[in-house]
Amino acid sequence: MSAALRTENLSVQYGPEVTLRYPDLNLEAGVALAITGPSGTGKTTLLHLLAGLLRPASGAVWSGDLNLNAASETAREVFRRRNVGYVFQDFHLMPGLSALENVELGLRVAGADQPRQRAREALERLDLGHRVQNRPGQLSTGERQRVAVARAVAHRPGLLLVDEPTAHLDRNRAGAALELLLDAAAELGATLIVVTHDPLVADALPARLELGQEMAVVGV
Amino acid sequence: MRLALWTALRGLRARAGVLAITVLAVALATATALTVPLVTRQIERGAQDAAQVFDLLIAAPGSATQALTSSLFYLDTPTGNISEKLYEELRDSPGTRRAVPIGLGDNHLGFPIVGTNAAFFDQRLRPKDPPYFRLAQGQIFSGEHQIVAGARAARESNLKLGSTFKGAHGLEERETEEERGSAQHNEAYTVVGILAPTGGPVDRALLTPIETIWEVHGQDTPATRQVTAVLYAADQLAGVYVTAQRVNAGREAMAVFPGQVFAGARDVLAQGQAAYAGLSLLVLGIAALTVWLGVHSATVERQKTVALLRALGAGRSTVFGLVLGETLITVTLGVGLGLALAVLLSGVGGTLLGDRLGFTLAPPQLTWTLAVRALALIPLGLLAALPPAIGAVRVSPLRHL
Ligand SMILES: Nc1ncnc2c1ncn2[C@@H]1O[C@H](COP(=O)(O)OP(=O)(O)OP(=O)(O)O)[C@@H](O)[C@H]1O
Ligand SMILES: [Mg+2]
Repeated sequence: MSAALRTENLSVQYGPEVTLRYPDLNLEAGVALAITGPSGTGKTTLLHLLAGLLRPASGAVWSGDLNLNAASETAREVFRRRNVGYVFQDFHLMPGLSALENVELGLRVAGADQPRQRAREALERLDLGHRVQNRPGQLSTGERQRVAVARAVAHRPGLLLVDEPTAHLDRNRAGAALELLLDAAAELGATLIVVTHDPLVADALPARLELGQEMAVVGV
Repeated sequence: MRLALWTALRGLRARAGVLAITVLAVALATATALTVPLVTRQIERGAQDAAQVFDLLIAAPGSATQALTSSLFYLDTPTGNISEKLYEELRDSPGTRRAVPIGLGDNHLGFPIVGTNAAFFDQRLRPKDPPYFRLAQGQIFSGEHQIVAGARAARESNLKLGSTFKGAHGLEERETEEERGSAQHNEAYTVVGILAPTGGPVDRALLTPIETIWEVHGQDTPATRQVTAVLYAADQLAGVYVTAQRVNAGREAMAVFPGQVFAGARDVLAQGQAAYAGLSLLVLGIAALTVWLGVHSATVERQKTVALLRALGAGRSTVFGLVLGETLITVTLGVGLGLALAVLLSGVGGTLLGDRLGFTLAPPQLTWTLAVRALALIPLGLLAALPPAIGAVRVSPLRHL
């Protein structure tokens, strides 16, 4: 279920050196947003905040009526497994599991019925039906990315968070990857948030948040 | 918990090498620690039970050990004979619970033909227990030349109910056909009963009424009749000592406490067992160390798995269960395999040893007190896995992503 996403006065403190302050976000359910900005400005950190993986030093993240920062650890776990699909910057597939089992794992964590069947369907929809038994080490970067996307969307989350989806891809494949994400989000009716350096991606999404040097206060 | 198990099994599959080594180490340690005690207990059970159904062995004077090995285990020549009169006195004296005559002298294919009477089958480990010797088939002898065969004697000389054979002179089998022919008695024996296996020496015996022995050896008048030994049981403990003193005061016989002879043998055994127990402990310690190494060899991989699971939204109890579960599965597999191996090895060892001793040992019996020595590895393994399991719950998932 997609929900409106809102942040207020978010800031993150990494040791005494680094403080990240974020402008407020106010997103309707189902929109697609690109987050851009130079390296080190806190794009990945913002995704962690929105996923309920990181508690901010101040401020709040609201998903619908749920305040993620005030919520218990258990409530945040439930939020993550039910509502969030996360495609990590370097995918984080388990090397010991086949492509199919990696997707199945996500579905099992989400508590889905028939996880194996649904994992196979998710991979087939991304044209990976012939590689289901391969381990990540036996797949190309583009294939690994599609496995990661399959894992992120298979349990039908309302919020799809994607970190640098085209970083490892050539132009053709980057376009294909972008299309994949837009299609998946559209099909789920999910809110899509993509961190990217890539103008091709940023320009294709209707909304954009540009994180600038000025907001990342280094060495207070 | 199903998620934890699903992930644990796949984690172990990915680390099959380490898994195999750990399981093998635990299994071998378990088998090493348990096989010898299992075999020892098999022997003790068979031999001691056989000696526990009576209080005193009364035989012709000589070596106590020889009296026991001959009249109880049929492995040696008797120390001599005692008169039937002495047997009858013992039987009829007040305070006697049971006096069982034993008459040796003949054999069939090397299995001793043991003369005795119905009281033999009434012997019990404790007064309230059921009789120690149970018939597997047929019935107790009721007339001369009838045979109740021990389990092993029946099996190995192919005796069934109704089978007949002729006995041969002497306690051991004759070497040649010629000798055999000349040594053979003329009266045929008939098998009327077959005993269930006991794991003790009676498995080898062919039991017949003692009157048969007297008749075969021409001891026709009461004055000439002899018995090899008497298995004596008293109503009360005091009676045992009184009888022992009375017998030993006379010249004709001696009274042997089988427990004392066994205790001497056991003292020697116990020293060996203590050394062995120390060695077992060492081996189990090494196995525990292997488990600990196995747990820690996977630290980095496990941290990544746990971090990913938590990032995907798995509960903290799931990752806790995952870490403990991997170790639990490993150690349980090892201990289970080890217990099976120990039972198998001691079964084989017991069979070989039983063949040497000439009686069939009972199958190995895995008792809790023994199994606990190996099962202790399971909590030890869990203890080794506890710190990483707690770490998995407490560390932020972002730390190891
Ligand atoms: N665990 C951490 N401990 C200390 N500092 C951190 C930690 N994680 C991130 N930072 C710092 O916070 C800042 C923002 O990091 P973040 O990864 O969010 O940037 P980013 O915009 O995603 O960069 P990139 O485009 O290179 O991926 C950086 O200066 C980084 O060094
Ligand atoms: Mg980043």
